[in-house]
Amino acid sequence: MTSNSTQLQTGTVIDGFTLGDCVASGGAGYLYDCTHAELESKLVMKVPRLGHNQPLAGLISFETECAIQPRLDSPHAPHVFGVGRLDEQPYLVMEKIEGQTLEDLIAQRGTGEPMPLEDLIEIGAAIARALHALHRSQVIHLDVKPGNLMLKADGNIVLLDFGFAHHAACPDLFYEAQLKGVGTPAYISPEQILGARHDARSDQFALGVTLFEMATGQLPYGAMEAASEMQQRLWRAPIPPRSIRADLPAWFQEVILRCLEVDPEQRFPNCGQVAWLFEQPHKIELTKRRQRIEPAGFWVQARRWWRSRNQPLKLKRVTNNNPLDEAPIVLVALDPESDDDALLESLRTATRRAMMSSPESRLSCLSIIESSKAQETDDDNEADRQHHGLIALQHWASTLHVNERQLSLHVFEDSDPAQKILDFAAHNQVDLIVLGASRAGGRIERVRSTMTRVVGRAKCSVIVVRPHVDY
Amino acid sequence: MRIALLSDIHSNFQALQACLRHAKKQGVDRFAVLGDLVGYGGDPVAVVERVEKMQQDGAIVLMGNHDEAVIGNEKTLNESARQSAVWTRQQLSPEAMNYLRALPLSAQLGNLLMVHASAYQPEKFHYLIDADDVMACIKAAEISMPTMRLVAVGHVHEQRLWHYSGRQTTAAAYRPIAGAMIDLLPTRRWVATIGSVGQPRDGNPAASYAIVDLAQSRICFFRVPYDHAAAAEKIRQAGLPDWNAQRLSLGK
Repeated sequence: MTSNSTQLQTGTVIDGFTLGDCVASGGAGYLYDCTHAELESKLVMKVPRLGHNQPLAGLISFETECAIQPRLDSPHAPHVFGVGRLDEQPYLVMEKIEGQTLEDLIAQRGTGEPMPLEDLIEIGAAIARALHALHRSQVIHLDVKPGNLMLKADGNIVLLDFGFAHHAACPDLFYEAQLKGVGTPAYISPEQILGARHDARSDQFALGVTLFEMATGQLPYGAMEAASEMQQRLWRAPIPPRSIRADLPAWFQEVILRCLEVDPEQRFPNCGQVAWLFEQPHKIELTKRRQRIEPAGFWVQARRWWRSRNQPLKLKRVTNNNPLDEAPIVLVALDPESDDDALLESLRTATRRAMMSSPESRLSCLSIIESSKAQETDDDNEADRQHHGLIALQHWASTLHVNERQLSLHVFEDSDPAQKILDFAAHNQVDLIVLGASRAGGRIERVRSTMTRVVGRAKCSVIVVRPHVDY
Repeated sequence: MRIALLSDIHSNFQALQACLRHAKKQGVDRFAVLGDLVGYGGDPVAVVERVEKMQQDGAIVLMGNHDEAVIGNEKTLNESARQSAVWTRQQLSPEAMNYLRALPLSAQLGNLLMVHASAYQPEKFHYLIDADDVMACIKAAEISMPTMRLVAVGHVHEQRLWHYSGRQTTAAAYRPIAGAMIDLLPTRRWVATIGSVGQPRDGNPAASYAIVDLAQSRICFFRVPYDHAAAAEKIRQAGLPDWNAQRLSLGK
């Protein structure tokens, strides 16, 4: 195996890839711009420093990247175009992501000028969506930090560097080598410090640290380096971000501090829920976390330390009971003003059943009035129609017995209801769609096409509901 | 080339048939049976006949400790296994006995080494239970086959994928997920215990086997449900120890 300790010349050709400039170099290796005669995309080639004089973790990290990254087919991870033979010429060629890392974005602002709240919400939701998508494809990143989060011009986030990642269906070389605390010290979760690498909520913890840093310009635990300092993460309460930035809303602090809970069970069940809440902050259940404006005092910290000594963190093996499945986001699409009562009742039963799996499930009720049909009502303007639609929807939902906090109601007027449902589901990473079947008679063609298009094109499961009939 | 690796059939014809049907659907170029065709189960004649036919069609077939017991010395086995070895000997024709007698202990194909139990002293059938057992196997395999990437074995009746990077002191085990394709990275030596076709012992009654893709350097482990009630009935009809029948539904 070549040790690759020296930089390669511009113009060097490896397996058809022509190297351009070296764009980055560090302890782990070199990153070059590169091109291939048959590929139009802009590419980068990562060439690791391996060999026996290099740290073992570097080798495992590159092996991990080569095993996991080519399996990903996601808009939130760079596409891989080539993997060099690890025993001959190790390299990884991937798409070059155009954009700005959040690290650069934070550095540009400096500490004096905090990021506006709207940007925090938008970027925070985009990170949560990217992580949720990754988790649903069985991958946990385990090194989420601003330097590994690339913000693209379209507002989407791409995760970089899968060297510490875990894939549920691959051997975990770090875990099996019994290496603990693999990750970046300032962002690493308590369970990672203990050596656990199977919990997607570890990425949520790092998201919490990242949100904290974006909001305040500071790190909640400082840039800890020593192992003894990292142990403090098992009990120490983070500084409330509002003690640094007073104009931060209470709900935003609530989100950060819940992501930073020591026990993964106390965090949000998954990152999809974090994204859902960023869309409707008024639904966030505010706890004592929101009120803290002073860093926890000596006695509080001492109590937390004492408790952590007596009740050490219990880590559930979550590989087989995936929290992603336990707290689904459900979408029900209906038209409470036009659907007949029997169908509305069946929709209610089906929705109630879908929500029963967990008190942490979320429900979005969508009432979509088709634009052409909307004109047939007595209301003369869209605002009135929206208002009446919302009241009807509220009335329908009131007998679901779903906690107000789990529920969001939306009324849209749209010329293409099927597309609106699909877009809403994709944006909110919905796990299950419930909708009514086409009815016999009436506007059958139009209704049927909405139903068939949603069933055919949705990326999640769809339950089609019919009113009860006598056979 | 894609090779289906089957081991520890233990005279369970129902489980063998189910795995062969499954492997054919997956698309394989070749079969390899890593020993223990017989022992425990009630269908030795049908299993040996079928495996012999597979070998005529190009399959690799190795000898296991239960096969050895049937043709020779059964004293090393535990009581219920010994009883079924003696019974099996009475069932098999002289031709079938000769067939078992001629089986080799190991085989090589590309950078794959196949053996029933361990590459370290194959004739002694050492179990690969902990990292030391696996390291002994890897060291022995490296000597007989310097280009070795993967050693595939049966014998322990559980599916594990061990890997060893020359940079670490010892090997580590991964418990594979059925149906997931795993890259056998060239930076490591790999040892796969492929599980048992006819007598799984990990609490899951489904038959175990694996497919290796030599060109792509990948392995995929599988679990295949089969009619274990019918296989248990065969054992009872033969008058073999009842536990041999019971354990099939429990996967123990």
